[in-house]
Amino acid sequence: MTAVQVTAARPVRRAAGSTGRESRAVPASSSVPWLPSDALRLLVCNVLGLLLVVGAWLGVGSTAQVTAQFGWLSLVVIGFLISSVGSGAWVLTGRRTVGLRLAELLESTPLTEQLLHPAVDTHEPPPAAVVAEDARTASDLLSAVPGTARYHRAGCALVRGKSVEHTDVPGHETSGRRPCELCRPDEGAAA
Amino acid sequence: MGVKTFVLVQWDRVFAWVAVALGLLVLLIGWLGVSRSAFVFEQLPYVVSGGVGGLFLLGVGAMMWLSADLRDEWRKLDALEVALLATQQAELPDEPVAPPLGSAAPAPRGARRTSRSS
Repeated sequence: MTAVQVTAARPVRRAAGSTGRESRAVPASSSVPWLPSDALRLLVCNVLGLLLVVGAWLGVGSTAQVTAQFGWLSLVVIGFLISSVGSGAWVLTGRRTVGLRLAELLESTPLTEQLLHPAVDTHEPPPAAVVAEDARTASDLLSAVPGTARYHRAGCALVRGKSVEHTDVPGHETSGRRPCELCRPDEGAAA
Repeated sequence: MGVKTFVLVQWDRVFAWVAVALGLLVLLIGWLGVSRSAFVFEQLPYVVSGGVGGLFLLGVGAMMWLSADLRDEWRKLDALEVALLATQQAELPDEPVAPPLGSAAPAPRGARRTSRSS
């Protein structure tokens, strides 16, 4: 499989809107969790805030009356608030977009469902041939990661891709291991 | 990694550090200006330029630093998504599924069909 195929299969990401009520599509090719409109809003807020602060500074420096200077100080506060709101919205929008994408990734992973709901078994009972195959697998090909306390079926997600050792049930139980609660190799062996 | 490469790769964090350093410097200058004058009308320009200006720069630096962190998280999610899709593609069966019982045996690879079902 090439990287081009993987990239082409990527779904369109959904990013939170500025108000948090609507969502906007972030292009799949985007390398940042922001839209151009977010960057524009940040730029406008900070430039406006900076202009207000600089203008107020010039205004304060142009007069020697304290009462007039305090009028300019209010402009400074407004400028600083505008800049802060723009920067805060930028960071919060990025955080929200990253969180939404992480949630989408987790939802698209079957392993997440297995890990979150290991005890719920909503599957239909497998055919007799599959049960027999599982029983043979459970008795012959039980796997365990060395140094761990559970043994698993060969296809269990918890040992997939890991370096495992294969032993039968008595061998695992002699080593002090118990059956995995996710793939339940003991039930397959019992069947 | 040389300094130039580091600056190019981590430009947002470098910008953040520069903004924070400038903000602290401006705050210091403002404090010095205020402390050297006994009149409020002379101190207020330093409060605006040194105090608020320094806080402005500190805020920009913090914002850039958080943006860099979010961009890093976004890149990690990119890699995670690619790895996840690759794993899902690899788990797809690459062998043809066995035909159901009672159906005709599959033709050997390379054989041509001689009849067409209606």
